[in-house]
Amino acid sequence: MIPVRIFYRKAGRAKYLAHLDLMRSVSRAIKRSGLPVWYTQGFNPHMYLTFSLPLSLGYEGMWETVDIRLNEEICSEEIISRLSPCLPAGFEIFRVSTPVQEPSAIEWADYHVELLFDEEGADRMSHALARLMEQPEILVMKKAKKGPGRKILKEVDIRPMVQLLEQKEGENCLDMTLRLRTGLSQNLNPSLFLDALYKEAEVEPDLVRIARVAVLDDHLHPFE
Amino acid sequence: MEEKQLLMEKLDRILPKVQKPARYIGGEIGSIVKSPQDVAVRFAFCFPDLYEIGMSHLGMKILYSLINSRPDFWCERVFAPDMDMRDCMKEQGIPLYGLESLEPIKDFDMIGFTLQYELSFTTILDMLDLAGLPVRSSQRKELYPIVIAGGPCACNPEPLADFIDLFVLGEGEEVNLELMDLYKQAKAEGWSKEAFLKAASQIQGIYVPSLYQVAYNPDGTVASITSEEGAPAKVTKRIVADLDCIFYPESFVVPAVEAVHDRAMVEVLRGCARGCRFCQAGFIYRPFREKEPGTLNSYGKALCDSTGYDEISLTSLSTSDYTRLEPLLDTLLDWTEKEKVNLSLPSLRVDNFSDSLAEKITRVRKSGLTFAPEAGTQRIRDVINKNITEEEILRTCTMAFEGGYTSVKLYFMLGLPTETMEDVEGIAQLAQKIVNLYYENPNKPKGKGVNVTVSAAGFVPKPFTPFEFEPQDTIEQFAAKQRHLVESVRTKKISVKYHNNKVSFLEAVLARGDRRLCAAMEQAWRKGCVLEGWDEHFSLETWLETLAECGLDPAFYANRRRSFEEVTPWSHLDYGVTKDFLIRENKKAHGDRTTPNCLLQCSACGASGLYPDGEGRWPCP
Ligand code: SF4
Repeated sequence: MIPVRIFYRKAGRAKYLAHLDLMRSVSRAIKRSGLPVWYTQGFNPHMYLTFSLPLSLGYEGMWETVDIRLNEEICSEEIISRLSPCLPAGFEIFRVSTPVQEPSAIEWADYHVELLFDEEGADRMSHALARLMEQPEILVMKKAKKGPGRKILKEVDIRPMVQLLEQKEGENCLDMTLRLRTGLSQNLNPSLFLDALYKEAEVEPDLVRIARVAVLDDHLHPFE
Repeated sequence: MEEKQLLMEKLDRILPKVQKPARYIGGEIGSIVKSPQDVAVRFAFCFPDLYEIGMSHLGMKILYSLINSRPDFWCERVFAPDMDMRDCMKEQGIPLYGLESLEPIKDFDMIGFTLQYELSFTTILDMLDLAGLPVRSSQRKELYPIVIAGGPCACNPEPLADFIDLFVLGEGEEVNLELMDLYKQAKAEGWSKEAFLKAASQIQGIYVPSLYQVAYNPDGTVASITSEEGAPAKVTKRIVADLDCIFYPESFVVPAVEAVHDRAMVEVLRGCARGCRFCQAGFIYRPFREKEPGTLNSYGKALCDSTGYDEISLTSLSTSDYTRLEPLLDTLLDWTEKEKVNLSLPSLRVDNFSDSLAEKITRVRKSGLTFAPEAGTQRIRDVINKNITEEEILRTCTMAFEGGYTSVKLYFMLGLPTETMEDVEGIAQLAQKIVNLYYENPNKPKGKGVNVTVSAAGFVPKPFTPFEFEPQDTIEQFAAKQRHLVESVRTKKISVKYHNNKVSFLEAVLARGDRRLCAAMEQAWRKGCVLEGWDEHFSLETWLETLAECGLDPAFYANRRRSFEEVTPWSHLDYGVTKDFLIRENKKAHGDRTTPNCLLQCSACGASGLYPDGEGRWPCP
């Protein structure tokens, strides 16, 4: 049994696949490819399939990974060439390798965010962004688990979980790259930060495009 | 900006806000994208219900692949958007588009709807409107798009006669391509819409409603239906004579969002040999024709390979009537077990569930067990020609319980012709006997109780069945019978589910309706009736109000007995089975007499006349 990590991009039409649908689509693609995948043993065997970091519905992802296990050694090129045509539109496999890190090694992720406005608003948003990033703390209401199955809203400071890497203002648009705490222990969804931003700006964009462009470990190296 | 890019941007605005957006964006495995310049005819295959429902439908998969197998044609899929998406589309001015190209279907050449159930009719109007087209055929003057419809409800399409340019009767594989070839010629030569429709009416199986005039008697019944412009007086449905030679898809579009039936479907046979008198499918799909086990096995293999599905279902009206089921299961099990593919067999019938078949089925799955005795007493089962005895049902249940089953689902109908309250009690008694059987089984699983679900639908009399003459029970009669059924059940092991009577009532109105209903259909839709197959969107009140405004009495359609002499609104359509046969069967029903199935003896229904080599091919199967 050989562990294999598949790196793929998910863009265009594919960004609207919800995580469960994505899992089903990918498992069918693998079955379709005829690759000799390993099934879990036992009464109800199923394909071993692990996604390291689920992506929210509507987001594009440039460094997505899924782990499978093969029953025999197959070279990366062949895996790519067999699997690629079996995937739904918008998926692109760019690398196949042996997993180096556990998914728990993920600590940060970079998001590229594009805010588009029908009319004015980009300017206000950009000022609000500057103000927000100067604040010592950014308090938001975040869902937190309290005991098994119980969820409550809790006020948390997300300021330490955000870094603004880049910002670009154009006509009726504001682009930015955010580095957010991501992973099993601490996780900040970009929408939470963006909601705080919209509140600060007192304006909402007409169209938002979000892409997760990098997934990083605590040394800020790409997750491998 | 290019139109398509503009649409993508508009979609990016709304899709994050709607439920299950993957339903609206296409790009699934197996979907076929061509380039518009390369094709002569673009076809929008519309399913007037949600994606999850439409993507389960085998007929759509067959025709989609068939049309796309032609390099000069391109077929795309279109489903009805759910309410949230529908509102967003209206708000953003997004016209209904094809899932493959994401281009508006109003610019396509042909728009085809499949008519699976009456309650989807208003959704058809809504989809035309969302596309940006006038709903009435007479207001669409150009050759494109031509709006067509087919499927089981096309056997009485009159309530849609004003909206649809032409109907395709019967099996679509051959006739659809003939029609599209004719269209291709019409387009190339610049024909008018009228000229095209007139020429299309000459193809067997094509019914152009605008070429028929309907006259009514003072009592509201149809006096006559006359054809014009050389259209045939009677339109005969199409069948495919040799199923082993006909196209079957090697690949399906694999739904992005889980569909109701999300598996590889292999169609084993067409028609039904049984002749249950309430069942429209059983008559309009005659004659009974089977495919070879080898053909089926290769379909199953090809589909699993191309889709990645890990489940195959053998589908048909009556899969257990397939005469070579055991050899078929043998060949399939040969590779499916190895490749971790499950087999599922829907609609198994009680009476031919033999021991060795049961053994194979246990290898196949062990979930619930489903039977459709349809009626609680033997007398009514004879009336409806459901050739099952109580003994057979109980014997099968005994076998199943010994095989470890603990739950049984039973399907019944209320309001069948000649039914009395005693017959209704019979349903509860039959379910009780099954419960008792379970506890008599010495090997029953320890600590597990039995679960018998009784599902009772309201009987809807349908065209082209021996019961097309019968009145439907009124809503009040249905309610009284449902109450009686619930009161007759004395144990918690039996749970009773029943359908909404109001839905059954409207179904009966539309199923046997005439053209005058078109006005009401349009009005009801304008008042907001859409996606009516979903209980939360269904409003009989709106319909009753609208029918009254149009001067129509729903009871005239639903609750009235028709004489054998009456001209029915569908009398100009020929589905093989003759009216004489239906009358004979109706009389036998009222005499509690049964008719043997086609595999045992032909009862000269007329369907064998549909074979191209003509009458006298018997036995039909
Ligand atoms: S012609 Fe005879 S065998 Fe054929 S479908 Fe009719 S009754 Fe059955």
